[in-house]
Amino acid sequence: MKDPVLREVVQNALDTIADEVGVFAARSAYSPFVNQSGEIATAIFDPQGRLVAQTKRGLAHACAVRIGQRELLKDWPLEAMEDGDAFVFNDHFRGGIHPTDVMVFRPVFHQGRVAFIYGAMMIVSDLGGLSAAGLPANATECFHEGLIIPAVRLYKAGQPNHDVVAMIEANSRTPRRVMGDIRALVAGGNMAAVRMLELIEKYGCENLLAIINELMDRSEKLTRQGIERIPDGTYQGSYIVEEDGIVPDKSYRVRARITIEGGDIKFDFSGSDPQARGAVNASYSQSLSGIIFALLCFLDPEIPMNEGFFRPISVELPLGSIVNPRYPAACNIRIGTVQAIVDSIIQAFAPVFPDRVQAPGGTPHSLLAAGRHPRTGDMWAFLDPHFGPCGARSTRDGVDCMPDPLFAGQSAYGRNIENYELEFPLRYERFQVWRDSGGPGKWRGGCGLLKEVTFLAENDLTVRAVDRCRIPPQGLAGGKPGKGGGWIINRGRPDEWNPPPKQTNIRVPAGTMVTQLVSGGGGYGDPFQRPPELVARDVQEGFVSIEAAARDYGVVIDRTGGEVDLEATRRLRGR
Amino acid sequence: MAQRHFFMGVDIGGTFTDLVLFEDGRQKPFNAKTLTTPADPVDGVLNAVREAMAQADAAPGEVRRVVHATTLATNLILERKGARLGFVTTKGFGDMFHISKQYPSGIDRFNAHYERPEPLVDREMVIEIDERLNFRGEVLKPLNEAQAESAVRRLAAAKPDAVAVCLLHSYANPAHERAVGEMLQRAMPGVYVALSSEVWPEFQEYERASTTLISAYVGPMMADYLGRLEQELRGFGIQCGLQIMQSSGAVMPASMAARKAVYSVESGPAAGVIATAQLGLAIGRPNMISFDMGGTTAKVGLIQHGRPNVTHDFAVGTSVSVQARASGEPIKIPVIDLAEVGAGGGSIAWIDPGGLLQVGPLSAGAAPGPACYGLGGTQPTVTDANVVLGYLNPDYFLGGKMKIYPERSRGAIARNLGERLKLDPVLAAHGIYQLANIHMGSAVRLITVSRGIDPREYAVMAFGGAGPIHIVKVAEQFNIPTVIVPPSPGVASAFGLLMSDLAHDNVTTHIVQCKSASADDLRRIFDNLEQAGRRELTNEGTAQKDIVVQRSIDTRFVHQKHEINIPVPPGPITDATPAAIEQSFRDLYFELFKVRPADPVEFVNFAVRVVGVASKPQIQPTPRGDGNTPRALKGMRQAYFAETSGFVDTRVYDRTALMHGDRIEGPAILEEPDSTTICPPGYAVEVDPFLNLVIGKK
Repeated sequence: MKDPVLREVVQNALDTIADEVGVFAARSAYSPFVNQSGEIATAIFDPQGRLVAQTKRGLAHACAVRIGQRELLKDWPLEAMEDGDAFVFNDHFRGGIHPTDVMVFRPVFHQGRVAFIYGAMMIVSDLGGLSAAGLPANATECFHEGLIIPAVRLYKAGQPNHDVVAMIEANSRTPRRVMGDIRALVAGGNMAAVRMLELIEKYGCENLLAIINELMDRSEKLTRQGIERIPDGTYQGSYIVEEDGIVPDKSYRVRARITIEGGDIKFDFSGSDPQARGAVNASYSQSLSGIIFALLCFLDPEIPMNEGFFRPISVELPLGSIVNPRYPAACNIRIGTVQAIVDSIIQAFAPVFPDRVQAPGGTPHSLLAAGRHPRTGDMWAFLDPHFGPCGARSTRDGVDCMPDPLFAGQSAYGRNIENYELEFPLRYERFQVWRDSGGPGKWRGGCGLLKEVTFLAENDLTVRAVDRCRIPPQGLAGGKPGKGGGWIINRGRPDEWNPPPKQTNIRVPAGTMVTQLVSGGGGYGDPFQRPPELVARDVQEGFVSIEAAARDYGVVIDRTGGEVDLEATRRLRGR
Repeated sequence: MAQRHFFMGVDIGGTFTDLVLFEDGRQKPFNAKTLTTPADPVDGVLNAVREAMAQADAAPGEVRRVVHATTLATNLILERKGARLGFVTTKGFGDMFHISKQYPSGIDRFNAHYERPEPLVDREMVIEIDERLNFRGEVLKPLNEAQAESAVRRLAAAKPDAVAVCLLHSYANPAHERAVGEMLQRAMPGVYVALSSEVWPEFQEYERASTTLISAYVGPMMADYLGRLEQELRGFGIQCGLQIMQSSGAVMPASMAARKAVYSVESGPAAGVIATAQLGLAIGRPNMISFDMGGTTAKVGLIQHGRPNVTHDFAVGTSVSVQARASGEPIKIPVIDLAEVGAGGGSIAWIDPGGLLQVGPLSAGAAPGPACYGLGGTQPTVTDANVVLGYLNPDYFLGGKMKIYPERSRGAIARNLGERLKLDPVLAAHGIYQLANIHMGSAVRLITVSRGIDPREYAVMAFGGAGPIHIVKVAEQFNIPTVIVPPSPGVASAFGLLMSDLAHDNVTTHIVQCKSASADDLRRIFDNLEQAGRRELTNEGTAQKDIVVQRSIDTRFVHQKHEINIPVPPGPITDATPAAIEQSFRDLYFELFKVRPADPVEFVNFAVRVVGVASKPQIQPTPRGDGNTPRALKGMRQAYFAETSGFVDTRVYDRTALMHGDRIEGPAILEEPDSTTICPPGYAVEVDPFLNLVIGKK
């Protein structure tokens, strides 16, 4: 055995570098998505393109950079790179996710040769496409989703490549912000380079690579140990994705077939439905990120992420399916499909991990608007995203309002109202827990959200509820579905109407009020088995109404004292 | 006898209450260490006061200043024993803390059993008020008094101990909050009320509300405790007012600490950083890293230009690891920036499933404690490793007050680690020592390198009982050239209390692009903030000549979400000031991020700290000694060093007998009752005029 202390030192140093540069980059970003560090994925690779270290933030993007980097090396072999180069890249048929998720790569040179490569990805503020912020709800081709950037040099030997910058700026509704975001990723790369060079200086390049090899072997060993704890066999699960915003009433199924053989695991999604015309398809790397996230829920989450981690894992994502579509499929609304991948894996493992089962939760809802500011005349593009709350677990309730852990780093109250009102012509009316939206069950699904905003200027509105509105998050083991969300325009007025979950560029006048309803998570177990005192507490705190307590849980609550009427409850539940 | 002057610093920790009594003009302070009395900490403080006063033979009337650091607020939050809260906000937004900004971090992200901490306020204790302002503070909807009165009555019926009020955009116009505050006072006389427009009037409602909520949560108990302590001290004859350390490292009168309770949340750790800053200034070193190693964690702070770094991104209510600080409820008040890692004397060493040696974050604590305590601990800890390596003297633990069993350390390491790693117990002990040093190094890294600061330009000061054992090897990781160990490192924090000034921080949000900001605007905003602080200080008895004003602006590129705090140079604000601040921002931004955007820059928050310089004990240099170090030699002991790849005979010195000008070459061990300093081979110790140990490469 080599020096276990030295290996630990290097592992820590690599983890810290990957983590820090992400946090660092987030601090200079402009995108409203990235006001917390959670949505930046950063990674370090060796010259052979093997993953050396990766932040565990930005999990939904985790695998994109790894695959994007391999594709980069096909276009830009190491010999073609210069010290100080930085590449920008977003092709979602070559590692990307959708055009607005942009990758930046930067080689780290040592003694005239590429020693390491830094890569990072985050969502940028706007790269064109059908609607503002590059998140159109009804795209059918990648061209509708924004500017597609092949692997090109943003910096040449440390100097900005003005041709590329001008091309990007000309294709964005918010040229300043988008370049601010991309530059933040470059800043992270500059910092990563400094830090990796310090490591090389300290341990020597050869020695460092030798240690990294050992660390990869160690991660492989830990991963295999974790997989070996799952009994050999085949496990199956599936979950549904609702209509794509293009073809009415058609849904899509994601099917997982997992095979464990000793320390090897195979994820086979060949039973999944063909790709959709709408943008609910998940690119290859995006699907892979979902698989890896789900797997980590069943392994030791502290296993360092490097190439060794991936060695025991094989994946079959059939080309042309909803989990790996053919060019030029649109992909920006893919998160429902990714969550379906996660949910089908969790359900597949339910027989062997009964205490780690979680019912499906809600999916992200994004409200987007764009217009000209009445005061300044500037173009503005507004984005207020919410992430679906958690489903109930087999051992406890789902967490109310909190984003599914797939979006770790995003919080339910992620963006302050005061901030939005200061920046955009709008006024919020309310932001509340959506009562009765959590799926009834022995364990209740997390409640969804209700948010209402009045726009003070004419604008083009895009409503983009990713999934699980018309087919709400399903219950498990006898639990009931959560309440499906959606949108109401001008609620309570004569001209009130409900747009479909996904609709792009609805021109609305000043004074328009939009109500956003974020679906609640699915319940777990028979709601009539829920202890009446828990139902009473939910009623007291206002998460469940008295009517729903009786209807969904068979629990009668006294209207004045808030106590459980045990006799009436027994009668109701006995039926 | 001539009138003597005493300064008293009291720091309450988990186990001990430390008290330092400093007599003006005398070199050595009197120290008292008594057991903390958790049921009522006032008792422990009074025990320490009596002990130290007796030692010094001091009369209560001779005590001129008492400064106190308390973990009361922190513990109330961690143990969730604070006030029964009511929360008042604008109609439509009462669910703020139930929607919540908290989310799982670290390994909790994959934890199927994760539970988000319950909000500090129950949902039925929230009332919403029919009113609305916009971001300019203009009234969109007037306060509906009838509705508000009825909501307040409903809340009063639920009998809260304290109420926090945060209405939307109240930073821009506090009128509605004040009106609601008066209604609350009328409906519930004597109930503790905290208004966000008073506690921290900065835009961003969630953070402003949670800062206010935390203040209300700890307020009533803080007010009660401080009131009683002040009264008891008066009863004892100590007439000077009690002062409380704030999280920012400045102090405030106890009466204000009761009103703005959230300001003392991180009272304890701040003191050590202040001690480092002041001791550093005394020896002409304005740039220092403070390193405080205790039983379960190590805390590292940064001092630049004589001033501790202060952050406004702090979260409370979760465990202490650096990562976990990302969760919990945010507080926006200034907090001394510390990186904290779970590595201390009690941290347990173990082997992970991949076969790697690991240290911490689990700690054996005080009970059962390290194996060598003989109190039932069987897990090997960092302290055990230090015993096996010969760094700690089994016969002189806590100055000989506590017996330890070295063979148990060796046994625990051999059994739990050595056999499984096929490693000699001594090498395993050295592995523990090295790993602990690396973890603590990561805290140094977070506070320096991660922010683009080169630690080699700093000296590091080590304190806490265990700090001086490890510090040289922690500093070596970064090639930090100078390590300083102050006298009595075990009570340095209490000493720091005496070195602090009074200060009030006031802030306001005014978002304006630099190019359209006028000098008049800046003058008006800063004058208002400055006057508010001056009024407080003057009321507290600070003379105008002792007041120092520090101004700064949170600045960012337009559309960015993170600001950088830019100091405003002293002196009058002129037409050139906005542009000068913009330029400082652009330069600093380039220094940090190595990119130079051409985007417009905007000012966001304006902050003023008004400092009242307090009279402090003067630390006096001592005359040079004879340089004859054998005077302090206690004997020899076998100690293990990586440089010698084995045990070597090592000189052991009595630190308290060392004199200014003494020079000792490593390897050497320097013992004093509350700490041990290790000087490894290749290093040398010099004793400076203030009796600090200054350690550097030979």
